[in-house]
Amino acid sequence: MLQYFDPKVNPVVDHNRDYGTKPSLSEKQVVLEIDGIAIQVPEGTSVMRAAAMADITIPKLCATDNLDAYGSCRLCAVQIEGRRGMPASCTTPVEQGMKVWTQTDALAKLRRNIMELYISDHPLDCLTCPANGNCELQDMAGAVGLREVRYGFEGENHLEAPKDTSNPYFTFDGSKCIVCSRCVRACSEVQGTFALTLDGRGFASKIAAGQDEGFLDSECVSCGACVQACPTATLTENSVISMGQPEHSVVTTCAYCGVGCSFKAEMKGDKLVRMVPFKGGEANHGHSCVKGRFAFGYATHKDRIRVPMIRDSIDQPWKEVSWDEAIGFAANRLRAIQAEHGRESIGGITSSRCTNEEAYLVQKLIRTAFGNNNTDTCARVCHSPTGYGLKQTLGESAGTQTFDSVLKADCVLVIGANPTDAHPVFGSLLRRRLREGASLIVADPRHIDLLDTPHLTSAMHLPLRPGSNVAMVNALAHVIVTEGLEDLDFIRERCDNAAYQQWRAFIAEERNSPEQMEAVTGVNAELVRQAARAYANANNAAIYYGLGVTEHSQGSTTVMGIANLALATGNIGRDGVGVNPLRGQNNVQGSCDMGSFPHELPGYQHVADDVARGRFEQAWGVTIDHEPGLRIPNMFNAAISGQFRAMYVQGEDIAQSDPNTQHVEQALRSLDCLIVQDIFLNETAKFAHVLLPGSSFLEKNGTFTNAERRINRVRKVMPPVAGKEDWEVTQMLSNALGYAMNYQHPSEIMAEIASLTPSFAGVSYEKLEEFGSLQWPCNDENPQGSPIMHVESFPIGQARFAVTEFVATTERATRRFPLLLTTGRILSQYNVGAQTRRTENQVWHSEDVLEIHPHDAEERGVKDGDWLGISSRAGHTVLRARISERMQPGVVYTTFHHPHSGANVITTDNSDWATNCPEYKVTAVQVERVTQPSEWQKNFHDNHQRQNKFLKDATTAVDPS
Amino acid sequence: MSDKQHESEQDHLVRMINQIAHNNSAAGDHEAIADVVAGHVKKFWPRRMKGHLAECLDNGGDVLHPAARLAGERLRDDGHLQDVQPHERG
Repeated sequence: MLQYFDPKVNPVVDHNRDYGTKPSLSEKQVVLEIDGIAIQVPEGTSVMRAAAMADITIPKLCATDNLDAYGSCRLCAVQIEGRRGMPASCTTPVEQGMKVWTQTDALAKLRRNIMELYISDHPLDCLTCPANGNCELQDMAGAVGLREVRYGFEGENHLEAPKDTSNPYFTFDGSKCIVCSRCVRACSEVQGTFALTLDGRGFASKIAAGQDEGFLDSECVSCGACVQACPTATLTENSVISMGQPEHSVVTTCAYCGVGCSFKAEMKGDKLVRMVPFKGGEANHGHSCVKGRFAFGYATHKDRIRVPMIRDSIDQPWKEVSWDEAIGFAANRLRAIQAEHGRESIGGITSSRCTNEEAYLVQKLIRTAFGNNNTDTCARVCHSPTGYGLKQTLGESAGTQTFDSVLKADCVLVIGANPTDAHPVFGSLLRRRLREGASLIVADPRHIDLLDTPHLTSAMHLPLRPGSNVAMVNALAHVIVTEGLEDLDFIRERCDNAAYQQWRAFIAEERNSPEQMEAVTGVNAELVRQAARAYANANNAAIYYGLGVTEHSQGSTTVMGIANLALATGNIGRDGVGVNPLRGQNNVQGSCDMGSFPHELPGYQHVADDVARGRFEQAWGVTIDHEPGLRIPNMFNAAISGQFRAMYVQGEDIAQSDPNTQHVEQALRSLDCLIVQDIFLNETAKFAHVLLPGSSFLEKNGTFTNAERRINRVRKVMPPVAGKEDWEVTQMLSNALGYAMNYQHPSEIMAEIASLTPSFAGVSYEKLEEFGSLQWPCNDENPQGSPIMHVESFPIGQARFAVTEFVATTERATRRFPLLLTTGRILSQYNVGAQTRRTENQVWHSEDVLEIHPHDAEERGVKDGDWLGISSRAGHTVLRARISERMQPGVVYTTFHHPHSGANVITTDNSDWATNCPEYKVTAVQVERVTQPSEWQKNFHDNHQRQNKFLKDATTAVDPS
Repeated sequence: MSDKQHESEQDHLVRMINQIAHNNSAAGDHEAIADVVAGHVKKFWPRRMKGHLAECLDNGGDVLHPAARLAGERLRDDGHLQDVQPHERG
């Protein structure tokens, strides 16, 4: 019989397997033989990984495939024909024609001896150990056939090493540590925090957090990468310690920020034991943050709404009812209101936390059963300027890149974003690139943590004044144009010439120069020039921006100015460049894509477009209004003036998250029928007449779309607490209103979306199963999606430069309100905090504080920890002071994660000129020492007590337990 | 509906349309700016706001930026502000 040479060629990667070392990206292939099996792998692959790819397992302890090879445990030694000794397979690269042996008598003896030494200083409590059943040390002892420990256990050892239980989510048990340093390397290589070190030498060496101060007090950010990397029980999730090892897992998508990390939800039956970031997730590649990995306890919190409830007025206790009764009550009220006040007197809000299918269904309900376009979404208050600005300039309302693209960037410009807090997993990726030598430019009023990245090579901070973004972006563009740094070939080939000439003439005017703009931005002109040169001269330069760009009166203008910068320098259409909005909530991109805005049908198709509208009218069997409907602020105004009477709000807390709280509360009190669908009694629900229990992301099927346009599956791992997924509830309401919906599964909703939305035409659940995720546009031209956009052309043909006139906000410091307040987020809390406040994340941030510069504090006699009254023209609230030099003098800062802080009592009704996105980032305020909470806070407290009693009374009425 | 509330909503609308005009002042003369403002209002504003704009113009429109006023007048003359109430359809 003939023997054919038939090497295994780059077999499919199994993301549940640990290949020991990272993959090589080399194009050149090498063929070698391991234990007589031929395999072809990319050059640069380690022998260990090549063996794993051939399904041959080499024993190992210090190696794992998301870390650089370290070669310390020596357990992975192999023998190679023609070479002396026993090299470590993790640090030995493959070579053409190499012959490797992984199991020989000599290797067996060496490995047994190594394991014997390890075990001589390791507790033998395997049966009661939390890692029992999932311990690499235990596995290796078995694999090498360890049968005795000749050294005994009497000598000097670490068996009494103390435990560190300071972190609420995991325990460090030093007695179990084998000092493989996987945790230390995960902290530096994967997370980029460098909180863990290997302290001491030789036998005395041990793992230390910070300056050996314990995990909680160190700079550890609790991302859990160390816990995931640990091969023993040394670092273990507390949930595993209390519940034991999980028995099955389901891959799903995180419901926190817009990074959209993939996780394996590891389960025991319907109980979630732990979340482990999934290596096959294209957005996160096996990394996560403290929220996604650990802060899932809210899903089973006692505060969850478990039964539908109704009441006639908001001054009454809740009455628990059946689903049918609640839906019937809501439908009757909606119909009665429309009969009396007209078709446009009701509307609704889709959720950026719910799935694509759910957002699609809510706007469909509004456009069909409600018969109007009064749909909006919380993107109104965060990234609506992104949608507007990028559509005007690049032709599509979305970021242009993948997250991985940053690994090819040579210069990264971050404007109004704080990725290490708000988008932590992307923050880690960015820090990795910065450690590799990319230069960093940060334009932000605050000194953000990114500027303190360890091993940063080149960084510039442009500490601009709040409200001067357009002035800054224009000044950067002015330098590029007047110093001849443009990419003229790109501009000629890819951009509309008339628009370019108009823009160029404008931007070259002296009034846009850094020198002229210095009075506005407060940033040294020479520094701005250096930054512009660094951005323009880099081979690949990428811009990342966040809500510090959009939440201004000129949010849309800044977005267009950012697109101008990228176009002028040709930084569009390939890896390593682009315009990258960092989205706040998990599905902001998706809720916008799904037609949540009052002027746009799914896929950003305008309601006045007869052809597009005609397709929806035919599919839905209704006539759709050709005029835009009400935006959220319009709804509030119309409610106060009595023309807007009812609202269906799914998964958004407008009473806490929208600006000018007292105005919002007045509007909500004016409604005859407020239907809130949420997992908790949130601030909005305190004004509701119908409370429909929502389902958490763990309790439903669907898809989320992250900031890189990646559509990822959300998979149900436990039943909804109240029995229904959110899309089922919307469907019930639609049917009760007489518009028939009959979906059996979210995949049917996605099929309908694909049939009506050109950019989603190629998306289906079958394809998502096959490819894991898809980045839209996904259609006949791009059947597997589009990782990088605008590679050859723009959806509008040629890109359009936009003239970006700087117009100062009317919100400016005055004698009465001499300081500027800006708002933001913190790592451990998420948005309005409804989820994270119901987890142990509270240990890091149990209250919102006002950060104030020492100079401003001294002027007012304020000391750290004092109660401060903060007043603006909109309202007054009280927060505790934190003296901080992260702020520049004249600027104060707070977060909005706790409702009683009333951060939005102070923010005003100023908004972006194009989209009405509120100007959260600039509010003129005065600050003074006070001794008691504000009037609003007292009222808030009273209402909170009263509404919680209404909820409690309802519960006890049915169930006395 | 209280007049005061309505008035402040009207003021807010004036502020918004003037803001649109100011932000597009680079478009050229008042005619050119008015084109941009009219296009924006037509595309993004709901009937309710268009109706308020019509009322504002009826009252003389003196508080409007000249280009915003021109835009409003054009929209009104082209019938885009008259359709204040939605057509009741079957």
